[in-house]
Order: sequence, then C-alpha cells, then structure tokens
Amino acid sequence: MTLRRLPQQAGEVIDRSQPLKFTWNGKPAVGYQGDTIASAIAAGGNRIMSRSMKYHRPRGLLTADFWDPNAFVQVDDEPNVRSGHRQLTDGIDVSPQNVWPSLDYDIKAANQLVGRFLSPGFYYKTFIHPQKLWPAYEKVLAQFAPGGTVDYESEMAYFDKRYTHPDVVVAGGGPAGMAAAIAAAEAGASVLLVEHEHYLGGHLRYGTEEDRALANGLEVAARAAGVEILLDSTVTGRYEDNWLGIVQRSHPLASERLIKARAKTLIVAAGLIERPYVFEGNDRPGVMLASAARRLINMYAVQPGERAVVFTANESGDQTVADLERAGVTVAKVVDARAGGNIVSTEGSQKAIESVTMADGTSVDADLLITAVGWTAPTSLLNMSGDRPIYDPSAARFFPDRTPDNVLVTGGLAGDGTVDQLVEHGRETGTLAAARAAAVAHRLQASTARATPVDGAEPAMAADTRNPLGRDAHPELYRSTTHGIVDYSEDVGSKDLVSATKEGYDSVELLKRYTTATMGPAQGKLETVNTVAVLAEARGETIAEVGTTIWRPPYAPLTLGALAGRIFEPERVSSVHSWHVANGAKPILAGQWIRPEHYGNPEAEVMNVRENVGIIDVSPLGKLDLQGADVPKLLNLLYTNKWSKLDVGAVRYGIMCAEDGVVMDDGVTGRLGENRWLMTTTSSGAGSVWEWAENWLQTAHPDWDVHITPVTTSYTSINIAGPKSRELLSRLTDVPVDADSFEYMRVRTGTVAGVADCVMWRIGFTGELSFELHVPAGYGLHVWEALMAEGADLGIKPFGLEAQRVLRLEKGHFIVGQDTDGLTKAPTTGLQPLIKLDKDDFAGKPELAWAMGQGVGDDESSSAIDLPVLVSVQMTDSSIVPPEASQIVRPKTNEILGRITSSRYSPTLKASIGLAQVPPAYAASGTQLTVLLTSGERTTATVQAHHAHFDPDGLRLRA
Amino acid sequence: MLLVPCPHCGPRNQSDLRLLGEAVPRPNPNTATRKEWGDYLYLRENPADWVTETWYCRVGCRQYFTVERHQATNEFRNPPLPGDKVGNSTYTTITVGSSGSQRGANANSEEQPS
Amino acid sequence: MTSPTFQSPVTNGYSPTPGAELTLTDQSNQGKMIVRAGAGTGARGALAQPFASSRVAGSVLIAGTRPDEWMILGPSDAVSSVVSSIPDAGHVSFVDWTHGRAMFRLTGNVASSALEKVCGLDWSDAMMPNGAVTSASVAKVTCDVIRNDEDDTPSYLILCDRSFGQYMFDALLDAGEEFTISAVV
Repeated sequence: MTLRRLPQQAGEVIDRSQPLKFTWNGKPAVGYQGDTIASAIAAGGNRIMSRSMKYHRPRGLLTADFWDPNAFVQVDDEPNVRSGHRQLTDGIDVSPQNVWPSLDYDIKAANQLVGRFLSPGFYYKTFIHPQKLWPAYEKVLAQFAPGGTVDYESEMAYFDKRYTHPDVVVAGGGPAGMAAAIAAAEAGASVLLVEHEHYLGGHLRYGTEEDRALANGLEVAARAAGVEILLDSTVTGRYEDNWLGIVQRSHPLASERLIKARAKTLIVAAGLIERPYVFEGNDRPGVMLASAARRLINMYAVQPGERAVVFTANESGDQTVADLERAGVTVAKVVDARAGGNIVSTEGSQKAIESVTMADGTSVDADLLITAVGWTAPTSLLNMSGDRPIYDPSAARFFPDRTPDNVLVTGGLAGDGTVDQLVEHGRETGTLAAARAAAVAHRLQASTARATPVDGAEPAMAADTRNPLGRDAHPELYRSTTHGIVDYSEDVGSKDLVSATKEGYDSVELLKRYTTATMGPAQGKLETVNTVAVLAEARGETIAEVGTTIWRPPYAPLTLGALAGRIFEPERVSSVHSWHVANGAKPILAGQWIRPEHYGNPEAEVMNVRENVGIIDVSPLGKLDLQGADVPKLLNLLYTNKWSKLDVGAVRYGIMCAEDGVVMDDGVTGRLGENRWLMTTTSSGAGSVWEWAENWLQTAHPDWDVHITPVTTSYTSINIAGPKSRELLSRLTDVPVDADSFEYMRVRTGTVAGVADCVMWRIGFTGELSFELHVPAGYGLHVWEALMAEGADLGIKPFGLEAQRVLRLEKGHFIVGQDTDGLTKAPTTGLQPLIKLDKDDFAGKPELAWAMGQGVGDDESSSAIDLPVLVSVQMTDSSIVPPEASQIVRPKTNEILGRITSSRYSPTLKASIGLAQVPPAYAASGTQLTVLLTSGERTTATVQAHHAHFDPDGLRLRA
Repeated sequence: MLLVPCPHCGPRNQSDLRLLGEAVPRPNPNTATRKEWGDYLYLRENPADWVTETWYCRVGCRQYFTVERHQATNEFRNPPLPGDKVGNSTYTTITVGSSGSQRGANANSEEQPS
Repeated sequence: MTSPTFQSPVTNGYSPTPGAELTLTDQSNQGKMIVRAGAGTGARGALAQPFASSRVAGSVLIAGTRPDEWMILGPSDAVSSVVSSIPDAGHVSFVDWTHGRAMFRLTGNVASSALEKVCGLDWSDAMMPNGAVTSASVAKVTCDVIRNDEDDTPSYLILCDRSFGQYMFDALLDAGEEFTISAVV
C-alpha cells in the first residue's frame, strides 16, 4: 500500500466528521464528505482505477480531476462516471470499467500483446471485407467495446431547463474570473459566474495558505457584490450573439439543468490545463501530473506515493516538491527541465512503476513520478467565438488572437503573472465587460418594441485599455526521446501517430479522425497539443506551422437528458375530448391532436353512417376567418379554381398548389356574408396555409383589403353524416334544413341546441347526406351531447378517424399528403376541371399549364409531363388489404411502377379497395395491376372507372 | 442562436422566425419560360457575401420582411423600418416549392426554441 | 335540454396550494375580441394603442398585439361595448376570440423566474415592463403575453389556442413548482 490518507491538511475540503461508506470493486470502503470518488478510492490504498479501453492496461490517477482519462467508473446503474470529479455519496456501489473478468486479471489485456495488430485504422482495414461477415465481426467486437454498463431498467431521471439573460457571464471561477465577476457586478452589471469545479478559486484551492485566503476573500466579495454563482457547472458552448449553453450538474431539483443564456458579454477565464508528457511507460500507474499530486495532498489529504521522482519545468512542479515532502513522500530526485534534465522511461510491472530512467542513463527507484511540463490553453470558447489562437513557442502554449467585442479573455488563457496581476487583469476585464454590456443592453432595449424606452444615444463600445498580462518563458516539452501514450482515453501512442503520418494522414484533422487521438472522453483537453507536437516532429515542422484542431461544443460533456431538458410535447384536444375519453374512444395522435380513432368497432361505425346517422369530432380541421373586400382576389390566387362569383351562402371546394404546381392543401371555403368568408384547410395544413396566405398578402399584394384570422380552435367542428342527419339536425336548430331550403354546398348560420352563432354547411366528405357544424368551442361539448341525446332514437353513434378514412375511401376522396406526395401536380389527381388556366394568375399556374400541355413554350404537339396518376383500385381478392405504400410492380421484372396510397376493407361494398399512384399508361379503367405485399407474395388489383367506389353519381350526398 | 432584427418586434431569437431564403423576383406567370420559372423556384446565388433574404416573424408579429445578412459572418444590415411596406420592394418572396411548404403531419407543430 | 354553459379548456380539477409564491388563474371565460385595422382607418385612432403595449380602460384591457392588430380583453359585455364604439369604416375587421383562446394569469414576485423555465424571452423589467405586450413561444406553443401587474405584483396574462389550454395550464404549473404555485380554476 503506497497510497494512504494523511493527517489533517490545512486546505483539505473533506469533512472528517462525516464518513461515507461505499463499495469499490466489490469490497467495502470508506471516504469522507467532500471526497471525490477517486480521492476516496486512492485514500484506501488503491493505485489502479481502471483499465484502458483498447489494450486493457491497468491505469492509475493521472490528473485526479474532471479530465482524468483513467478514472472512469461505474456508479450503481450509471456508467462512465468521472470519479476524479464526482463527489462521493453514501452507500454507492463503485466498480471499475473495461475489466473482465477482474481489475487485477484481465483477459483482454492480451490485446496489448498483439498491440501491433491494433494499429491505427486496424478495424477499418481488417473488418471491411468481406462485407457479409460484418454481423459476425460485430458480435465479437461488441464484447470489446469500452465503457460501463447501461441498465435499461433505470428510472428516468428528472432534468430541467431555464433561460437567462445576464449582462455578463464569466466562464471560470479562478482568481481572474472571480475578480472579473466582482468588478462587473460592482459596475452595475448582472453577472453569472460559472465554475466547472465544486469550489471557486481554481488552482488557488490546492495552493498555499495565502492562495486559499485570497480565494476565500474573492468568493466573499463576489457573493457580496450580488454575483450569481453556479458551481459544478460548465459553459459548454458559445454560439451566435453570445448564446451560451451552460450545464449545471449539481442542482437540488434535477439531475442536471441546462441553462441557455444570452449574455451581453462573455468573459472567458477558463484557466489552464496541465499537460502530460510523452515517454516510454508514461501510463504506468504511479505517473501523475503535478497538479494531481497537489490536489490529492492539499485538498483530499491523500499521500500519492512513498518515493517520488519529480520532473519539473515550472514553478508549479517546484511547489509540488514542497507539498510531497510535507506529506511524507521521499523525493528521491528532482529532474529540472530548465537545467536540461529529461526523463526517458519508467520501469516496473504493469501495475506500478518501480524506477525512472533519466536522459543521462541513470535510474532512480520510485513508486511515483510527477511531471510538470507545461500547460494547455483550453481555448474552446474562443474557437467557438471565431478566434483562431496562435502558438507561442517561447511560452509553449497557444494564446488568443482576436475575439469579438462581446467576448473578453482573462486569467491564464490571456497570459501569465503573479496572482495579484491575474486579479488585477480580471478586475479590468470585468469593468470593461460591464461597460460593453451596457452598450449592448442600450441597443437591445432601444430596438425592442415592448421594452421600456431608453434615453440618449447608444453608448459606444468601450475601448480595450487593459494592461496586458505578460508571458512567462517555458521550455517546449511534449515528447521525450522515447515513445509513449498520447491519448490515454483512446489508447493512442506517439508511435501510432507517427505511423499514421507516414501512411499519409499528415494533416491534424485527418490524423485525429484516423487514429481517434483527441476523440475520447478527454476531448483533447490533455492530448491535443501533444498530438500536434508529435505530428509536427514527424513532418519536420513547427507546431505553429501544423496548427491545431478547432474545439467545438460542448466544452465538457453533458447528458442527453440535460439536452432534452423538461419534455415539452404540446398536445391539443377539442372541447369534446373528455366525452371521448369517457366513452371508450381509442386515442390516436394526429400531429399534436389527440383524436378518437374509433370507439370500439370502426366497421360498425361505417355502416351506421351509411344506414343511420353518425357524428364525428373534426375540430382539428383548419379554419381561417377571412374578411375584406378583396377576399375573392386572394381565393383566386390561392386556389386553382374560380371564386369571384361565390355568392353569400355558398360553399365551394378547392385545391391549393405551391409554386411548383404540387398540391399543398385542399378544403372548402364558404361565404358567410358580404365581406366574410370561412376557409377550411386540412388539419395538418392549418398553420402553413395561414402563413402562405399572409405571405401573398404582405409581400405581393399589400394593397389588398383582406384580414386573415386563424379560428381553428374557436369552433368545435362536428360532422353529422348519414341518411338521418337531416332529421337529427332539424330537431336542434332554428335554421330550415329541408332539401330545398338548405341545398348541397350551401352554408347557413344559426342556433343549434340553444347555442347561437353556429356555422353549418352541407358538404359530403363521407359521401352521405351530411352537415358540418362549427360551434363556438366553449359550447362544443354541450352541442355534442345534445346531438347524442336527440339522435338516440335515430340510431346515432359517434364515429372516429378510422371510420372516416374508410368512408372517404369508399367515396374516392384523396387526402393531401397521403394520396399525394411531393411530386403530385394538381392535374394528376383527377381534378383537372378545378384547374382554371384562364385565370390571370394563381399559385403554381405555369407549372400546371405545362403539366397540362398548355404552358408557355408548349406547342400543340407537346404532351403533358408523364407524372403518376391517382386512380381508384379494387383488389381481386377481397380478403387481402395490401398495406399502404405497397408497391405496384411490373409482373415479370418487379420494376416499381407505383404504389397503393390508401387501402381499406370496405364494409359497405364487402370489397378491398384503395387509391393508387400509377403511370398514365396504367391508369385506364380495367387495367390489371400487380401489387407486391410485404410478405413477398403478390396480389392483383383492377383500376376502377371512377375515383368513387361507392355512389359515383353522388346521389346520396345530394339527397 | 442568431438574434434576428425584426423591424417590428426588435431583435428576436432565430427560432422565433422562419427563414425563407434569398428573396428572388417572381417572373410573370403568364410569360415565364420553363427556365425562368425553374430558376425562380430552385436557383439561388448563395454567395459568401451579403444577401437580401426574407424572414417571417412566425412567433412574434407575424410580419414578413427582408433584410441583408452576410452569409459568412451572420451580420445583419438594413432591415426595413417598421412603417415600410415589404411588398413595395422589388423583391417578392413567394418562393415556396412543395418541399418548402412545411407540409406533413407536424406542420402545425411549433418548433422548439433551442 | 339543458341550456348551454361556457366550458373552459381546463377540465382537470386542481386544489389550491395555500401560501404559494405564485398563482395561476384560469380566465378563459373572459371576452376576447380581435380588431384588425389598416393604416389610416378611424379604428386606429379610436384604439390609440401602439404595437407591443397595452392600457387598462375601465374593465377592459386594450393591447396592441400586432402592427395592425389589437386585442380587447375583459368581461364580454364590456368588451362588446368597447368594440361597438370603434368605427368600422375602411379596412377594419373584428373577430370574436372568446372561444378560440385560453387565457391564464400568472401572478407573483417570482413570476418571471417561472416564465424563464418555459420561454427564451428576456422578462426583465427593462425589456418587459408593466403594460408590455408580446408574442412568444411558451413551452413550445405560441402565446400572446401581456404584463398586467396587480397591485404592484408582477402579473402576466398568457393566451394560447384553446386546444392547447389544458397542456399550457399544466406546463405553467410545472414551471412554477420550483417556486411553489397554486392553481385557481
């Protein structure tokens, strides 16, 4: 046991009065409140945390924080938990990942013996041929897939979402970030400070007593200044106009909360991330970054080893020496890179290092090797702001180049300095951010109609007069003279990168995708610059010449649950919904509407409409109120037929086409008064027809007097259908409904069941005598119940969508979007008489003219385009109803000719009927069609003379 | 998420509006050749430069307007003033082919502000 | 036959939560009239309410909901009487939206925080002062929202298509749960 809990440390964040029990790898273990899972495991003397994903090599803690690539564990039913970050809770069961059968002995570790076969692109190259064997390969390879175990029985967690519009968002709560937040808040800005870790302070938290005192002081000041502080939260992305995604991992009410923030200015103070060093044996447990050792000792009171070698190139490494000695670790040797020292390898077993070899060939026994070779600038948010950071070889890291006015950088990302200098730079940045936010706020408020008016001219964007931070010289240390692991999470070594470069994958973006380096859970935070450095070396160029990959969102991973947030799935119901539910309706979701599909027996519902009377709730039918003197002009423009002469009290059917001549909607429009019309659209077309009509009015004909108001849900729409519908309606309305007073395709307004202002029209989608009522929705249920009560002796029954589909199919009425598609031009629907090419203009007119052989450039001999035609079909075998979308094929070749667009068994006709799209050559009445069923069997169908299978002359609906 | 300068509402989230694309003039439907009409339906310049495009303030004021946007930088310029009649411009926006007519089962669903 | 009574789209039952920070009240039975008036009409002069703002006139609220559209809300009789005073000459139209829209009132000092959970708009006093009118996507449904404070307590009228009424009521209750909310139906 080389790791153990130390006596109390001055800056420790654990609460020793609150021990927490958990299990690690099946054995009971104990930690304290404030421990991370990893620190508790390490304090228990465990050096190995997991095995690597490809070679299954034993791995120990490397960074001991969020980015640790070696510390992914399974916690209860949750896989891939970052144990270096997640705090310990009582009673959890923690197990290592990628270990089978156990952490100590792993069968797949044999992978490393055949490692040369797992070179970059191995899977691409090896398993691509023969393709038919892929399913077999897949089964074997799936066993090797890395990661934890998903429990499909897990209860869905609660996720939350909120929006916010702060003046300033500060990403990063280190000294500069805190100082910036305080200064911005003191300048009057509303400030949101987002810290990735569980504590404010950044590197000060594992620093000296003075460091901690400074962090505490800044935190107190930030809270006093009214800064909203989010801990254990990350700004995951920056999008246009400072739209920010922020994930809040610790929230009392939710597993995770996604915050979408529109910041007027964003301050990026993400700090620096310590970079690992590439050399032989650099992934042997016991090799650790300086910052990891300092975290373990100073924050969690864990002794990281017993005998250490420290390879240092900077002050942070030097401070680690002091920390180690204070923690009782023997520092066997300090190798100083600034004095030309270097390390080349570690030796030992797979599970622990035993010695470290230096460049001068000497070897030192040690169970711990600390490296402090420099920093990676996590410039993600700057990349997302359009910046392309520039490499500075003298400081051995990237620095920002140019950011937009509303994005400012401070802290380690911006430069180096003493803590006081960083704080001062932060303060200046916060003041500047607040001034710029005020200018943005002024502009937003002045240009927003609903906002409180603002006085004065818009303030200019404040100039950047900050004193820039300096840059400390730092040796460039990426790879030693030996090869080692570059990407720990993906098990990619520097040798792999060199060989991939030789294969020709020598641009950084290609190399990344081919080798998967930087594509694992660490997402480049640790390995990007080393990858670039190895590539540069292989190409004989500098890092600046090679360039780097562009970091994209998210900065830190977030769960799909957080992205989904609370689930908003708007549902719409009619006023009769509660009745449907109470009367056994089987619900079906149609768009957002919940509608009755049937009430138990759709065939009986069909027959009852044919024989007695049925009512259906058609409230989702789109309805638009049209008023104004120029409505006929608009109707003429939207529909393909003519509307100028529609008299008051008349109803007419029309189809609408888009400008490409394709049918986009259909419905009836009635004239209720001299200046008032009611248009109906398909249920799904209600919104788009409205926008379409507004588009024509606003952009092409703003001089027309037309007002369109959507009234879909103002009315409960009820269709009364069947031979006894007239009798039923006559009992409830003051409007005369006899055949002479209320003719087919007429509209009346009046009182129904005591409800005034009802619109009634006589139309016939079902093919029966029928009346469609549009009742003020607050009284919809009342009218529905009155109809059911009054119709009892007439045999009234409600019918649902399914019965309506059968009824309309028996009548051969097509449904836009089901029987038509994105290629269906109006003339092929069988409704050529409704296309009036002699109108001056209407949407899609030229396309329809060409489709009918009468367009510009068409001469007498030119024929119409050979588009599929909509026909009615009857199956030869009435017991076979081909599923909708069944293919119609050429019998010998199986060449696809068309498809069945609608099909049902018709209880009225005792026949299997349908609508189909077929080429014109197959559209003649009596043509035999071959239909391919999903089973692979075939059946035959015959094209009918009329679209209507039933009552083709329409005698019933005109009764 | 872009802030789109609606001339009536003021800046609004992009998800509150619908982009109809580059504004192109509608040819005379009675004289247009197949090529002219086809270009109107399907051909757009799509430069890495300023374009005049049409937006519909779907969630807000329900007004159509044209505005210039730089397609490489997403900057906006020259939105019409609130009193301007969009239709008086030389552009019209009735450019919807069937594929763009937002049809389908969820045509009336609201899009998520994301 | 029973005589018709107006039925709200909110048909589920709720019991009030005493002492809650927020209240959500169903006011769907209020009269709601849409007035559309073209440029230069007398109706515009009579309405005298700029787009995106509102005023209280007696027992009704007059809101400029679109550049050429106004909504008049209140008891049906009062709404009718205001409407009858508006000149209808020229390009002017009226549509009764009483049955077409659900209407809820969300009141409380943290009402804007609840709205932030369902809508991406900036609800700060500067951007949405008392009297301000806007249209916004609330829980993915387009709503008209009018800030209409009650005794200096922030209060918002939220109107959506009637068919979304039950969904919207529940979505607003869910948004307010974090702060405690009481339903009044």
